[in-house]
Amino acid sequence: MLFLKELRRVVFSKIFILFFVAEVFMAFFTQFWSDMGSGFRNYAPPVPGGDYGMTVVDDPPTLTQEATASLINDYVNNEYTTYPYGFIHTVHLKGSDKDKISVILSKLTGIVEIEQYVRSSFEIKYTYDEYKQYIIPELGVLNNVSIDEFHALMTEADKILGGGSKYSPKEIMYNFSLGPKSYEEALAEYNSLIYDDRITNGYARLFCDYHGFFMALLPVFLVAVYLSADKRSKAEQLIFSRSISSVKLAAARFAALVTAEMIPVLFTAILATYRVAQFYDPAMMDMFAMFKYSFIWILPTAIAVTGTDMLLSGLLPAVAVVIIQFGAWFMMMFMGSLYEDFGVFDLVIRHNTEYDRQGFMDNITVFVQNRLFFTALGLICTALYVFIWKLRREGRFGESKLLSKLSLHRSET
Amino acid sequence: MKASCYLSCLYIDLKRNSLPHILAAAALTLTVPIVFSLTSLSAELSAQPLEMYLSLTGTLLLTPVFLPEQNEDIRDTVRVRQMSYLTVCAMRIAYLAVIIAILYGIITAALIRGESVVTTAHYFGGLTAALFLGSLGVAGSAIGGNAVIGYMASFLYFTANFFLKTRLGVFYLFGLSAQTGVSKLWLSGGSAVLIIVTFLYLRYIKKL
Repeated sequence: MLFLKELRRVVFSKIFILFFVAEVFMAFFTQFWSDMGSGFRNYAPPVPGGDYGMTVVDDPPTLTQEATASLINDYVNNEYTTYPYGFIHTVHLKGSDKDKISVILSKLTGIVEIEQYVRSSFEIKYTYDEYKQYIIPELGVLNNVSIDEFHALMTEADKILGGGSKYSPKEIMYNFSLGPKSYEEALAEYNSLIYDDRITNGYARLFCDYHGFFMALLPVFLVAVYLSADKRSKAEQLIFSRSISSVKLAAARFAALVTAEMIPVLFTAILATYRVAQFYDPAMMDMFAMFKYSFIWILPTAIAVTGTDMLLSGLLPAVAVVIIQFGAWFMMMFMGSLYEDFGVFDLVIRHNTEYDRQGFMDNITVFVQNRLFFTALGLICTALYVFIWKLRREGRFGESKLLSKLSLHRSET
Repeated sequence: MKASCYLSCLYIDLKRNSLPHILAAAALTLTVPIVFSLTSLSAELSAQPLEMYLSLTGTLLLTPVFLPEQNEDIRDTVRVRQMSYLTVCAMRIAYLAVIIAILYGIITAALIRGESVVTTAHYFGGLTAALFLGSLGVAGSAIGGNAVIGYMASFLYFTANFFLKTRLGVFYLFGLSAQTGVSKLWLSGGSAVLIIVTFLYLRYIKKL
């Protein structure tokens, strides 16, 4: 059977061994495995009077007061720290952009000349890095500004700053509305993990969080080397002349690549189940959770990445495909959030905790739409790859002159 | 062998092999001010663009050093030439390292202009990180026999630095950003060892 032949070719290749080691080591041993044994985790139920960490609380007065005071400070100093691409960016506004923030502040506070007012009315303290901070104890938002209007104004401020600020809809709650988690909340979360998630379903989300992250990158190396192997061994022209259908061959290769990519995931799913069983009662665990989640969460990522990389490999040199894929992944890595703040078009779904089942379930519709979208994307890209491959086979699609010039050795990579 | 022959070799390599990679590295350098702020940064923050971003120029420029001879036919032709192939490769690495140093110079100058705290340690520390990543790419592509394997080694090591951090010990690339105080000489030595081992491998195992 062609699929098995192709699978054997992939699995016994040097690049697959490197892929397997990288996926198992980077996505599993350095993350999930070491995380569980790190000593920071408490596997016992919470006890009254303990420290249960922080959580986002629904406290509009605190949120509006603290976020407004922070925006005033940044405005008066004219220094805003943002992370538009995951790295620090210091923004100094000029002209109309500065005025727009002033208008936002006057809408929030009712004070028109906010800068003069703050400078003359409040005491300054200097932080460790000499950043001036005005102590603003009672200046809050106007009573007639609703919470929705407040969020709209803060989103507008974030847009003026170029995105990635602490006032963005993604970040504002984590920056200004955190409070200590109560014992009842901690206990409810623990019980949800034990009884609703049967332990491993919660850990499976953490397991997939790590694997999904690396699965969005690592297949490119496998695909690039595997698809260029025909050219390197000078077998491509021979294959072109055979009677085998292009669809059949490309489908077998796509299926073989995706199957091979899932091998380290399923292998580590066994290890992850064993690892969780070291800390909890195995009788209470769902033994198949890691496998179920691997298929619904990681498989669509593997399909999408393999499909797009196959299509790109049909158009560009392997080296260019690798660089493009790494660049896209690198930006995604720093621009994404660690928790279930994902949309339909986010390839990497993050859920960096074994808890918060409810948060995940609240987003389940988006999750399903997301996974279906990426599965479809991968399949469409593969279909396009087949089309291009077929044209090349018939001699109706060649390298562009520009690409030939830029990459003299394209056929070998 | 006349020096002009070597110069001619380098010119052809620049024109037919390295140019797209140099353009990619230049494009990466141009995006530094977009991704990072370069003004009024502390010593730790000034190190971030140099160590956590610009160091990828090492991967982009040095990894494809052996790319032209990845083609067995070209490799056979090179074998029978009087000119030493490994000397040509060493020269390629040297001139590409100079280009990396220039790109680092541009961003360091931009940091100085932006009144950020930046010293020669930043410049050489960042450059060392780039050369180490490049050396990993060189070693990976030579030993793996495919430039893609070189990129894989280099990119994954770079990524590992974000996750494993100081667990990488003296070979942690972002030491200046994290203020670890570990000397960058380890990375310089590591780069030299990787390049030497690669050349010995090509000379005595691959008989080039």
